[in-house]
Amino acid sequence: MPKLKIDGRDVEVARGETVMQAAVKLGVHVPHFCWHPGLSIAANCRMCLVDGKNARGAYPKLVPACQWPAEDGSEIFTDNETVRDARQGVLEFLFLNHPIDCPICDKAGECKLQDYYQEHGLYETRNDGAKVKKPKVQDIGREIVFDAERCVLCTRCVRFCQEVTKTGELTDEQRSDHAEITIFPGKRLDNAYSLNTVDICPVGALTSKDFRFQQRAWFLKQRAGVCPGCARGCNVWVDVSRQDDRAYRLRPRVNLDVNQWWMCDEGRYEYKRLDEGRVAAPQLKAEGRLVEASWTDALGRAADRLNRLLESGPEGRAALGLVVSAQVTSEDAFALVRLAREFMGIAAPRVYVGGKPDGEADTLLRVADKNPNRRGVAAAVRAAAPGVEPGTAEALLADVARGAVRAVLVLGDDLGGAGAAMADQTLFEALEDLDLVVVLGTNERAWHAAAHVVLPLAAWAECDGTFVNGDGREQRVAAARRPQGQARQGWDALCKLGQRMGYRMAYRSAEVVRLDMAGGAGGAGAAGVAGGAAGAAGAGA
Amino acid sequence: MSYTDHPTHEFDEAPPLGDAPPAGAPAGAGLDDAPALDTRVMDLNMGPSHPAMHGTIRMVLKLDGEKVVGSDVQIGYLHRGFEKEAENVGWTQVFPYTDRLNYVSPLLNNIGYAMGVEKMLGVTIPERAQWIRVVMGELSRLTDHLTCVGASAMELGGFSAFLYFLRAREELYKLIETCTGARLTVAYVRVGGLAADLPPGFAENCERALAETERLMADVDRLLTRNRIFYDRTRGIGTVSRDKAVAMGWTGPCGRASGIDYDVRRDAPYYVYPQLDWDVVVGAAGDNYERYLVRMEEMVQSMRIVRQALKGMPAGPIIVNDPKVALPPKEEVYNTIEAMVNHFELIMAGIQVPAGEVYSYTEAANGELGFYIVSEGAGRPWKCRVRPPCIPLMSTVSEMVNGYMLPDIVPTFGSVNMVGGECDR
Repeated sequence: MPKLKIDGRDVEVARGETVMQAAVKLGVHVPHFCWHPGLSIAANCRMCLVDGKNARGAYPKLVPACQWPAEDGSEIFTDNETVRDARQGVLEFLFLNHPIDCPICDKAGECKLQDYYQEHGLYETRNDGAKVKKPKVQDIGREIVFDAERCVLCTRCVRFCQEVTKTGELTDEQRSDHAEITIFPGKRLDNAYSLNTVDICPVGALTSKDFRFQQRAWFLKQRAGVCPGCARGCNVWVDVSRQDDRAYRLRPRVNLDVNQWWMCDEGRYEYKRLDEGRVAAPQLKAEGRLVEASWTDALGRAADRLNRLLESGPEGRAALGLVVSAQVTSEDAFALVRLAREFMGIAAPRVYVGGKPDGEADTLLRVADKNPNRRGVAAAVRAAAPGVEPGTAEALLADVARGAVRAVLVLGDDLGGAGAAMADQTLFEALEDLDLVVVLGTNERAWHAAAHVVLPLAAWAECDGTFVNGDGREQRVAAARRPQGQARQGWDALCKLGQRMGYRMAYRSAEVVRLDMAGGAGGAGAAGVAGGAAGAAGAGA
Repeated sequence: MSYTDHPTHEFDEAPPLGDAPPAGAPAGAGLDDAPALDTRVMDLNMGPSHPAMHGTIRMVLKLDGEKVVGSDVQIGYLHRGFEKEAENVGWTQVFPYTDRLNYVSPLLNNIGYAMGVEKMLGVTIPERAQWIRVVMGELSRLTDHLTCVGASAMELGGFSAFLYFLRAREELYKLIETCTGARLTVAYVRVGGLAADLPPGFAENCERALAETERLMADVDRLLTRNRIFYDRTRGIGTVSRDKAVAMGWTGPCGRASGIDYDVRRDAPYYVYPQLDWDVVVGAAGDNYERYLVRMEEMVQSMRIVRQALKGMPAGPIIVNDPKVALPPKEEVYNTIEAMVNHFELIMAGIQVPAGEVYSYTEAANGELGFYIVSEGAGRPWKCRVRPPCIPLMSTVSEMVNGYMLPDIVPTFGSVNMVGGECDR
C-alpha cells in the first residue's frame, strides 16, 4: 500500500491508484477537464499537472495527477508557484480561441473553465490576432447541439461513447488549434444515453436541446431525488428554479451501486409531467361533468359516498376495490390499504396494482418495468394487509365485469397491466358505470371522466417517501419542491379522507407512515397514529 | 471665529422671562412652585405619526400637566432587516442597502462598510481613492449636519433657517449627484475603491457649493445662535453629563457636546485624515444648545478638510487592480473572453472574502459607525452587524426628556439626530 504526502498531508492508497485518486481521497481539488472517474485516463488537458518528488529527488518536470501512479514515499505539491504558473499557461492557451459566449452559453455558472480561470487566470489577453473560427450550433443528435468553438478538446464525450455506450459516434480530428470533436460521417449522436455527454462536458460545447436557453444555471437549486422512469431507480438531481419553483432538468447523481455517474435520455424527460397537465384542484362530478371544487367539498362527497357504501352491509364492503399505481411511494400505498383494512373494517380488501406498460430495456441501466416502485407497492400492501395478494389491472377489469367490484378508490393515474398499455378508453368504459369512483391523481387523464371525485395528488418530486427498485433496493426520496396547486401527498390526503369518514387516522409525516409500515399490520398505535376505529389488529383477519 | 466660541454667555445673566425659575435652578423647578392644583398623571402617545417624531419613533409619555414625568421611547418602525438582507446578497450588493442606513449621509455608510470588507481582504485602496473617500465623506457629513440643525430649528418654529440649510444641502446634493449619479441613493463606493472618478470641474463646483453653504451658515448663525427664543428653548434642556454620555456609549457630535474628546478620524486614523489640518470640536455643557454649536463648528471643520483634500489629491487609479476584487473595464469585458469570465465570476460568484471576522469603524455623521462582519469564505457576508451611532443616543432619550416640559421633547429629540434608517436598520 503506497503511502505518500499531498500538500503536506499523509495519505495511503491502493496499489495502482493515481495521484488524482489520492487527492480525491484527501478532499484536495486538483483542477482538471479530461479526467472523469467513470472514463479511461486521457491526460490530454494538462490542467491537473502537479509538482512532486520521490526518493530519487524532485520530478524533472510537472506530471499529470490523473495518470501518475501514487508512488510510495513520494511527495506531491498541487498548489505551488510552478503548478499555478502551468495552470495559468494552460488556461491562456484555452482562451486564445475561446468565443466570448458566456452571456449566451447554457453552461455559464457551472462551467469549469470559468471557475478555474477566476482562480488561476492571467486576466488579460495577449492574443492580438484573430480567433480561429469553428462551426457553431451543429445539430449532431436527437438531443444534442454541438459548438466546436467552446470545446476544450478534453474528449470526455468521445470516450463516453466508446467506453460506456460502446456506440462510438464521436472522434476528434485535425490537430493544433484546428482540432475539433466531430461525428463520423452518416452517424448521429442518437444513443439512448447521449445526454450524459452534456453533463460531462466541462464547458458549454455540448448542450441539451431540451434545456437550451430555458433557464440559467444560477437560478436552479439542485435537490436529490430518484428517477421514476423505470425500476432501476437512478439517483438524480432535480434542478428546480428559485424563481418559479418549476423543475427544468434532471441530472444523474452519483451512486456507484445503482447508476454510477449516468442516466438514460428517456428518464430525463420525467420532469415534464411535474408541470404539464396536472390535476391542480379537487374535482367533483356535477351533471355528468367534473368541475373544480374545494378540498372540503370533495372530501365531504367522497366520505359520504364511501360511508354509504360501507353501511350497505358486508357485500358493500366486499365490493370496494383499492387500485394502486406502481408509480406511488410505498408510504402512500400503505396508507390506502391501512385505511381500508383497519378503519373501514374490510378484513381482506381487494387490492389491484397497475402501472405503466413495459418499455425498452438494455444492459446498461434501463429495465423493462417503467414503474419505480412495483416491488415497494406490493410490499406495502402486504405490510398493511398480511395475506392479501394484490391483483393486476386485468383482474380489476374482470372483477368489475362480473360485478364483484362496484366501487373503487384509486391512488395514482397509471393503471395499466404489466404487458401492453391499457387504453384510457378501456379504463373509462370499465369504471364508467360503477357506483363510486374516487381518484387521487397527479395528471389529467381521459378516464378521470368516469370518476365521481378526483383529488389532486403530489407528483413524484413533490413526495417524501420510499421507492424500491427492481433489485429490491429501498431508496428514500425527499420532496424537491412544494406540491403544485392544491395537491397533497397521498398519505396526507388519505388521512384527511379518513377523518372526514369519522376515523381517527392521522400521520404527521411520511416518516411516521414508514415506522408504522415497518411495525407491520399490528402497528396501529405506533408513534403518531391514533388508535383504529374498526378492524382488529392481527394477521389475516 | 468659531461657533463654539460665541459670546452667548451674556444670555446666561439675562433675567429670566416670565415666572421661570432663576438661572441655575433645576429644570422644570418653577412648575413645582405653582399653587397646588389637583392634577393627575396623564398618558399621552406621541408618534409614530407625529412630525416631530420623524414618523418612526413612538413615545408613550406620562405627563403631569405639561411636565414629563415618565417616558417610554420605542424604536423599530423603520426596521427593514438590513443585517439579514446583507446575508443574502453578494459583498458588493450590500452597498445600496448601506445607502439606506443613515440616508442623510449615505456615502459615510458606504465607506464604513467598504473599509470592513477591505480589511478582511487585506486590500489597501489606491491613494486617490482614499482622498476621494475623505472628500465625499465630509460632504456627506455636511449634508447630515445641515439637515439636523435645519430641521431642529424648524421644529421650534424657525422655518427660515430650515429653508436656508436645505438650500445649502441642495447645493451639496447636486454636487454629489454630479459624481455619484444620485443625490441620496449613491452606491458610489466599491470594495477596493470607487465606482467612478470625480467628474471634470468637480473642485470648482465644490468650492462654489461650499461658498454658498458658508454664506447660508452665516445667515443661519445670525438667525439662531443669539436668538432669544432659540436659546431659551435649547440651553439647559436635554442636558447629558459627560459621565452619563460615556456610560451610555455616546460618540460623535453629541458625545463631543458632552465633553467626550473622541473622534474616530483622529483617534483611530484612517485614509488621509492625519495628513490634513483640522480640529476635533469638543463642547462641555451637553445640552441641546451645545449640540447645535458643535454641529455648526464641525461643518466648518468639514469644509476645511474638503478644501485641503481637493488641493492635495494626487492623480491615479480609483480602484485596486486586483481581478479577484475589482471588475475589469467594460470595453474589455465585451471584447475579450478573459475579462468576460473575470466579470462573470465576480458578479455571479462574488468576491471571495477569506473566512474570518472584523470589527471596522469610522466616524459617521452621528458618531462611531461600526461594522462587525463575518465571512465564511464565500461570496456573501455570513453576518453583517451594524453598530449604528444613534442607538446609544436613542437609548438615552427617555432620561433626556424626563423632568422637562412636553415642548422640550422636540428640540431634545431633534438634537439627537435620530435617523430611522440607521437606528432601526
